[in-house]
Amino acid sequence: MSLVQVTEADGGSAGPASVDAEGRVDRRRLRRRTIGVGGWVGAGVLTGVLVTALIGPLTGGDPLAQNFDAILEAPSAAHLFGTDELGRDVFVRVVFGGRTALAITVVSAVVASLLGLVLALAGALYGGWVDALTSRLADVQLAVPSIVLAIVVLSFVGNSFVPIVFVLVLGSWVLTFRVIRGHARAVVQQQYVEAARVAGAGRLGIARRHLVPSVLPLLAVAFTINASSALLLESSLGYLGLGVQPPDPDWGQMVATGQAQIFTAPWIALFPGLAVVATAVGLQLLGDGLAERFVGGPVTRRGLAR
Amino acid sequence: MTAAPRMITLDAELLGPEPADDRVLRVDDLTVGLRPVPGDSAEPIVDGVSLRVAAGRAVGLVGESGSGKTLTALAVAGLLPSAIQVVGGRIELADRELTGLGEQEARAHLAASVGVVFQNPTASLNPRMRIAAQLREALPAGTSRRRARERSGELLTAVGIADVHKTLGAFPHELSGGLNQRVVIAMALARDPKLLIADEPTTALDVSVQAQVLDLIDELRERLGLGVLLVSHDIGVVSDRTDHVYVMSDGRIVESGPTTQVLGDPHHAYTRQLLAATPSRLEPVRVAERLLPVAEPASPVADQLEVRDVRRAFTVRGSAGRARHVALDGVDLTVTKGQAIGLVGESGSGKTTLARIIVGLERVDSGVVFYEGNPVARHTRAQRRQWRREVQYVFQDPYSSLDPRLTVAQTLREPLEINFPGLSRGEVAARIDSLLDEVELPRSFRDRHPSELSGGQRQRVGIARALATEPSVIIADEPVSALDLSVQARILRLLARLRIERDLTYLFISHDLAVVRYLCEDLVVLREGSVVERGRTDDVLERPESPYTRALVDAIPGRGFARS
Repeated sequence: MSLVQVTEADGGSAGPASVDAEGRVDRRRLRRRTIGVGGWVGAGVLTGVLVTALIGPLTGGDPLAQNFDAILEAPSAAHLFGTDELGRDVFVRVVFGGRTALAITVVSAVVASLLGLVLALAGALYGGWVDALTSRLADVQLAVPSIVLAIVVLSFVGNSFVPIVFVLVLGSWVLTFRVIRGHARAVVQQQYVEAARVAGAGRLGIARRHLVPSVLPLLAVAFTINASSALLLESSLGYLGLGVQPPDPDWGQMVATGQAQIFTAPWIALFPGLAVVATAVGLQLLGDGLAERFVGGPVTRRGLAR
Repeated sequence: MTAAPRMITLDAELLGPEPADDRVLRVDDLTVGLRPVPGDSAEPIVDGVSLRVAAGRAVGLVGESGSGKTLTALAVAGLLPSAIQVVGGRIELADRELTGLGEQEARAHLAASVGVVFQNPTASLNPRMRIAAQLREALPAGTSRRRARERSGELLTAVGIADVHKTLGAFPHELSGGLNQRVVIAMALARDPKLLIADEPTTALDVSVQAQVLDLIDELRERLGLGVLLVSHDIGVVSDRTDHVYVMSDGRIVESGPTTQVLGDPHHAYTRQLLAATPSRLEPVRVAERLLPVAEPASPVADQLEVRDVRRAFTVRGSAGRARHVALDGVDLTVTKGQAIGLVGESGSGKTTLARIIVGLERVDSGVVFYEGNPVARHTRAQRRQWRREVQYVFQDPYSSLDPRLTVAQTLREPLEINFPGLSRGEVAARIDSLLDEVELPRSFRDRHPSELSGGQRQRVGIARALATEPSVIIADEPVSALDLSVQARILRLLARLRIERDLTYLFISHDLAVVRYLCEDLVVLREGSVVERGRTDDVLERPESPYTRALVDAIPGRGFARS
């Protein structure tokens, strides 16, 4: 009897190093799990792109300044990426074009992720017709190719910042929605959420305390993938002439105009194209890294990419 | 040979008259440890275990989770997980030394001489394969299709399955847990093993089914002359079914000998502690002399909870299309202030559904739930809030009932902030501390995450969370069934103490009559959604009126042992 009292902690085997009765959890291993080499490379590339886009204008270059004495010059110390058919500095244009492209990408990825998150949580929390409605919306959205939708919308309302963001959000919220909804529905059925209900928590409280924290990792992964698909879509629109209009620079649009000189002055199309690829790959690598980081958690990249 | 002399003499007594070649399994000084990882010093998980199993005999291996009993069994069966290996010692199986054989040879020898039955039958069967295919897989390679079919039929007949044809064509989910476990046993027997290792073979099953499966193993042991190594945490099962027992703790065998002797007159402190924690050995707590009979309606003021003619059915989708499963079929229940009522029944009897309905986690198809005389569905906002606060729930599974992301303090803060919005930060912190004190957890546990707690500690946090709202009624759904025996006993004592200190009313759901007998004065027996018997616990257990209750009482393992 006295022995029962001596072993104070129930199940003495479970010390603070976290070994529970059924499965062993090695905290050191958990902590060691990072976003991996690829993730760091992606993060590095993205940081480089973002920093360049942010501080680029401080160098005093003007993306619209034409210099007819230096038309179609190859890359040199004076013009890092060369000049285009109007004598504009391609490097400066890539930097400024990046500002537009990245701003549109980030804003639409944020809005898309939030929209997806809110609809998914609402669906999971309320169930019933709310869930049915949001899911059907997502199905409808998936059935319409986003590029077609974008072309239609943009050719009717014109192509300023807001409509472009609008079509990009339409094209990418479903991804976040689906990923989050699946996970949130599983979490809502967990006993700890039931316990919160018994304690008197409302839906908002449950969402704030239990759901949002548990879907945050997923949201981070979904965000990077959203952003890369938004960037690609934005560039495609620019390429098709439906995005940012000349003379303002934009990566996709620069690739399209540079195409004419692809054999005489390949740098005009090459560098903005490279910028798109680098940013998109950076986002993907970071997304993969984050997904890897949360392995053992709710989802793998493969599960997300669908 | 580090084994104590006493053990050897006892062994000799037990096996004395039998020739040595009757010995199926002989394990000497077995040591099992983690595969060494650079930088980690590997401590043995199983440390110098020696045991013997003779043909036609059942040997028990008892211990709590983490004691190494399962790893010992897995080592014998050659099924250790890849991170764990046999470090030292000898295993001699059916007259062949296993440790000396090459990998191929060892595997062939194991396949031919050991059959293993695990705890959860549904987990050991492949859900996408028909029983026939799984049995065929278990038969020796190269068995012809025709022979396999015959043999499968024989095996299923041998394990007492009547409708062989239908069972062969079924998928595991179409069979009950008991039937599935019979199939697993049939698979274990498929290669005519000499030794049957049964690792908690009945823990996942209902009591009455449990008895049948254990009877089956007994019968097979006698008929086929199998040696049986029965690994279990359940002292009752071991005392009923084995003639020799080894008690394990922290990777070592601390005591061994003939079962009656070890359990009747334990020498080692750990064995004594284990025995003292067995629910059927706990002295029942009887608080209330002010008890009112359950069946008669008392004065309305005293009724805290009342359930009137509640019905609930679920739609189940099966291979045969949709079916209605009636979980509750018109149940009446009255819970009076201060009572502790045990709600007993086998799985599928509707006891959990009833509890969930009472706390509002499940809706009713028809019928009314009253709280303090008012139907819950028609509560005003204030009444509803009060009901939410007063009636709390303790969940069965301490692993999924705590949010893995929240610390203990954050978990406890939630009900406090919701129900007492006026509290300052400091007051909330003080309440969290006193709740931890109440459930006997150190205050330093505040900042721990659930992954840093053992099952019993988690369940204490779950209880503290239920207490946070200052409830008067606690509904506990199998709160100790997922825990080890000694932890179970401590949690039960905690619940008994809290009941007295806080003047709580309990509705306690359990499949374990011994647990209910300890904590509850009154008992309600549910079967297939209806109440079959109710009354005082002691009366019902002494003189069960309905045949179903009697069967339940008779099926409790270790009854003789509990009385001794």
